[in-house]
Amino acid sequence: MSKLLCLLTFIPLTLVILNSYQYSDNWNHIKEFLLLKYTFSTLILVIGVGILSLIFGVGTAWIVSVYEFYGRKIIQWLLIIPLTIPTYIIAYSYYDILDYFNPIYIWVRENYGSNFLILIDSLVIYSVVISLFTFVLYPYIYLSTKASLSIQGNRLIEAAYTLKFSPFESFLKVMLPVLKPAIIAGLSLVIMETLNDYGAVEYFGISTLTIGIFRSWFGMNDLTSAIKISTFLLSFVFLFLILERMLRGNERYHNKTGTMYRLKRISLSKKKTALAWIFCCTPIIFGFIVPFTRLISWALYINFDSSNLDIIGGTLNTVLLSIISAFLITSFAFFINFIKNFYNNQFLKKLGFLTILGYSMPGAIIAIGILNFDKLLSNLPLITLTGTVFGLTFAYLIRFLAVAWQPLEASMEKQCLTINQAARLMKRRIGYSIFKINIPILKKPILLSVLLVFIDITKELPLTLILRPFNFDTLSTLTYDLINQANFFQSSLSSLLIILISFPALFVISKQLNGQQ
Amino acid sequence: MLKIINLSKNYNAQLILDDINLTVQNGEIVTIVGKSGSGKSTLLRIIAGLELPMRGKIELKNKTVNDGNTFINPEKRNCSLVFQDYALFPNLTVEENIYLGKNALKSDSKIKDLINIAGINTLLKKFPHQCSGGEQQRIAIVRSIAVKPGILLMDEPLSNLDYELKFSLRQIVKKLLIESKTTALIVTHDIHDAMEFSDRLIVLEKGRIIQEGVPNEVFKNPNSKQTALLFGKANFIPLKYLKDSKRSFLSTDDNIQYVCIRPEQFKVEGLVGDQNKSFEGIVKSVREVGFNYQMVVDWNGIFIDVQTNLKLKIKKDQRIKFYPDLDF
Amino acid sequence: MLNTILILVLTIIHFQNILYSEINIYTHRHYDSDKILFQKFTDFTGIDINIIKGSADQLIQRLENEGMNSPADILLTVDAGRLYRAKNKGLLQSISSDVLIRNIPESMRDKDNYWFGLSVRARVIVYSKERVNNRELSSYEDLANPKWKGRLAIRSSNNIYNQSLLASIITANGSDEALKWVKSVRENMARKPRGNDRDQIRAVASGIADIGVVNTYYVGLLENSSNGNDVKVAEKVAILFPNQNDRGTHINVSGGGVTKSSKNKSEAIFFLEFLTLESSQNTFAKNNYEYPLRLNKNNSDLISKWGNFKSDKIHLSKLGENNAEAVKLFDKAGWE
Repeated sequence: MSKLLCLLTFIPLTLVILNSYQYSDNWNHIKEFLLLKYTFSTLILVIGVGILSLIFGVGTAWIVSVYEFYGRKIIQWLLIIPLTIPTYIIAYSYYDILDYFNPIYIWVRENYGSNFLILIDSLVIYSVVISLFTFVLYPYIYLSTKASLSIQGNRLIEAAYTLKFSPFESFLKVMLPVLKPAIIAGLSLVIMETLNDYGAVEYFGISTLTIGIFRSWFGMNDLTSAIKISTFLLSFVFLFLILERMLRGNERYHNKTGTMYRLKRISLSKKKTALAWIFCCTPIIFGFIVPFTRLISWALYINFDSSNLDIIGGTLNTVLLSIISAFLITSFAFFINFIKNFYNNQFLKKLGFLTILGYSMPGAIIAIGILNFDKLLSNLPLITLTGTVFGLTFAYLIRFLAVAWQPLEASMEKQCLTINQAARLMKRRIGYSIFKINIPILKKPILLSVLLVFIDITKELPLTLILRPFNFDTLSTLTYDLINQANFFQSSLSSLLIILISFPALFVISKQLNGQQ
Repeated sequence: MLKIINLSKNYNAQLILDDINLTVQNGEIVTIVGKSGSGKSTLLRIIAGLELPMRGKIELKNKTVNDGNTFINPEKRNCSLVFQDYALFPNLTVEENIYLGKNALKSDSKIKDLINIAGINTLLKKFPHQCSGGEQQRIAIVRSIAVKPGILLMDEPLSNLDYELKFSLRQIVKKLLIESKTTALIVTHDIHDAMEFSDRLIVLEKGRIIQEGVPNEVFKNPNSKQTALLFGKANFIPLKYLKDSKRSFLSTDDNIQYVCIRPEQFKVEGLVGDQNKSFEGIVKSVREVGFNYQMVVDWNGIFIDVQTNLKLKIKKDQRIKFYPDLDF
Repeated sequence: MLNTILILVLTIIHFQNILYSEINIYTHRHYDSDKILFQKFTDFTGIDINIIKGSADQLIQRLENEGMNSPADILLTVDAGRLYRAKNKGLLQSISSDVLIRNIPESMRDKDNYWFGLSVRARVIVYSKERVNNRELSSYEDLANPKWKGRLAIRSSNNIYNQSLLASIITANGSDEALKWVKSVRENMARKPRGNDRDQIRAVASGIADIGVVNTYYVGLLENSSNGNDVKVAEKVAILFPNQNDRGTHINVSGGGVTKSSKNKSEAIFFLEFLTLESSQNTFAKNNYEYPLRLNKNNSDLISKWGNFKSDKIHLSKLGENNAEAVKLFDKAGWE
């Protein structure tokens, strides 16, 4: 039963991949003119965002975990906040940033000619987009690194100190390799998000593979080619995931539960405090404060009238949909993990790895999968996936299962495995194990899963856009509509609401993480 | 080597260390014994610079490393720490772990000797999680000695190991310390570790040093019930019943002079005995353990643990005569 | 008044079907003008309107997958090419309506009556009032002239408006000429193509470029923006209607059709008819700066100010026919 349930989530993706073997006349054209270019741009973007996010994500996590300085507590919490801003919103909140380069552009053109300008232009665009992506995506690395530091890092840092490494040396030479698994886990989330973006790269004119998918799908009216490109993209993701597994290898650390001492943070001098501030505040300012204040300043222009009523419905829809889906998805992940754990099911064990596939697919491709699946189901009465909240939730399940899965799997493995086996030996019913043992023990990771999925769904755009029911708007679809009309002022309100709704969730997450120390 | 003056430490409102004064001489091996929660691990962490004291002064090699005005960072202090959970780097091999320390040079033949003494020369290419608990412990100790610390701090070095392993490891650890001429301060809750390793013993109770001395002397001359109990079962008999005892202490709980007598110090004479020095009591419970009886005897309302060999057949509710051997 | 009567007449004609009713619309249009018109339609007829907004492409995909189970009655898009595509995929149905045929010029509706244009947008050249004399160019073909090297702002070829423009050039000059044109225009770009039509206007205003290619209503939106900067930007540029001496300026329509699966066909037809009424047409012009179907007959001051122009009369289904070819030409020229 649970196996069937699991397989259900893979059907849409399988349909997509199966369809990619169909013949398409445009494929040769795409291979000749586009694929290389798209791959190249995608690689530059991914590598750029990856490196910059690593610098900011790992750097800030290290600074707030190991050093003590004025304002550390507030900075530690502010560093997570940019996570509330989706890439398409940060892109349009900086829509005119390139205008500031105009004087330089004109100077370059006058002195070096327009060919050189095009070169400079590409350079500027890539740097801007890479920076913008970094400033909202680095928190994934920040969070995973910080959690790893607080769970197993403390003692190892102390060990490094006693082996005569200065804090900075112990970071570079000793702790970076230790943190590698956590850092890579965060990095893979950053990369997936980068690959999934359409709005921002479209606006700034960077032709990534995702752009290619949409261009073949819509421009050439060729879904098959679009699916071929996404399978190509997927093979990259797959490669990366396998590489990641290999890198993690046998470096799992068996944590001895001893007394946990709080790491004595090293006080920074005034000068170094200033440096820490500059480094930590850069992403906070550019990833949150600037876009947020701009959105607010735009919102001030809005004339409130009946046309703004949409936003109330949109907010309600967003909140309800996100909460319900987050609970369903977490329950699903919990249930499958529990069965896996309780019966020591090998089949389900291998599945964890596959859940991440859904997360790495562009939302639009998952939507195609759902549409295909729906067609297959159309002979059955009562089940419609497109245009129903049920279908939308199912799509979210495929997309975000991995988000709920990861924290649950790890902590259930660590905390409940033997208890579940004991309960089974005592011939306890499954219900007893679930409600009396697992849920109380795993309260924290369950909450974490729910909140993370909640935030992700609140920001989600492509799936919602394609699969939603009639007259059904969420904040993200409202924002998208208004941005499409280049109506930035109006769109600022829904954007702000997306950010504000995620706030409480994020606050709880950060409290949890800081509490772990 | 190490000098601690008036050191105190609190967490929130609770006093963890209360006015500690302590000196460790060069080449000396000192053990701090205390129950869990007595503040002994915290003391080590403060010496290593991993935590800040509330007040007090710490000197290493006549250099102040910590007082009201100075704080020397841990990596600049000349001491190294063996953690209770070993803190081996999971991503490094055993060999990389050992040579990780900044002044642990590959060319140093003394480190190779240490590796041989510790018996971990076959493990060098393995990762820590592929080694057993006892092996990890030896790796951690070798790693800490390899940096040639002025003083080696060890936090519960043997507590995670089983009995058999402990026994053989004690010998190895002692050998390692002596071979490398390392000054060491060891924290443990196991008195047998302390008896084996140390030149001097310090008893910590609720954040205070309550006794200090050569291990055997402390064993024979405990100055409080707490200290006595660290060494195992003990009977406390008021001095007034044992006038000729040479050893006694004043209990601060009830202001009475007590004599500490171990169960094995008693001689049981059966039903007859010397009226002058014998106690007479009723056996409340008796149990065979190995070659001995262990029993509880009711002597005028005071329950006394007594141990004796199996020569006499002793039954419950039997009346017996016994006396403490106070000659040594 | 006349409009009210007309609506009443229409209501009576369709009365037999309107007992309880609603229509479901898939629309790519997301403009305030539509909100106003939908409300007006419901007020007059009692027919409720349900909408799903999305990009035309995604909506077409959705229609395709839903097949005959689709709840949609009407598909509204912002270009003729997508309607042409929907027709070819068998998603629309032919309808007969004298009102639609009378109100819509022949080139702006499907010859088999599958889809109908409802409002018109013209793709024009904007130029800097300071740096460009309007005698320096007169046609889309002039954009390929090397003298504009490093002076042209135009958005990405992912955009349907550019794809349709190129489709019209393919129709007029043939594929080979069109490819030459794309290559030369790409050489003339002042910067990498990016942003939307507004951004191209801002580029011209800021001096990064001297000329740009945009849809007219973006100029209208900027001129009437509540943001002072936008208005200043709009003041710095002027509009030029290209190809007035030959085939006319490229236009496209936003339009719609009744879906094959429609279960409320007569209400749907009624709705399309309603949008072609003069009052509705004026709403498009006034609120959204689009041109009405009868190009030179409108009551919007702004549009009138831009003046009358001659439009390219090719049948708009050509834009759909040549769309895929246009995309490929863009790729071959390396126009991102």
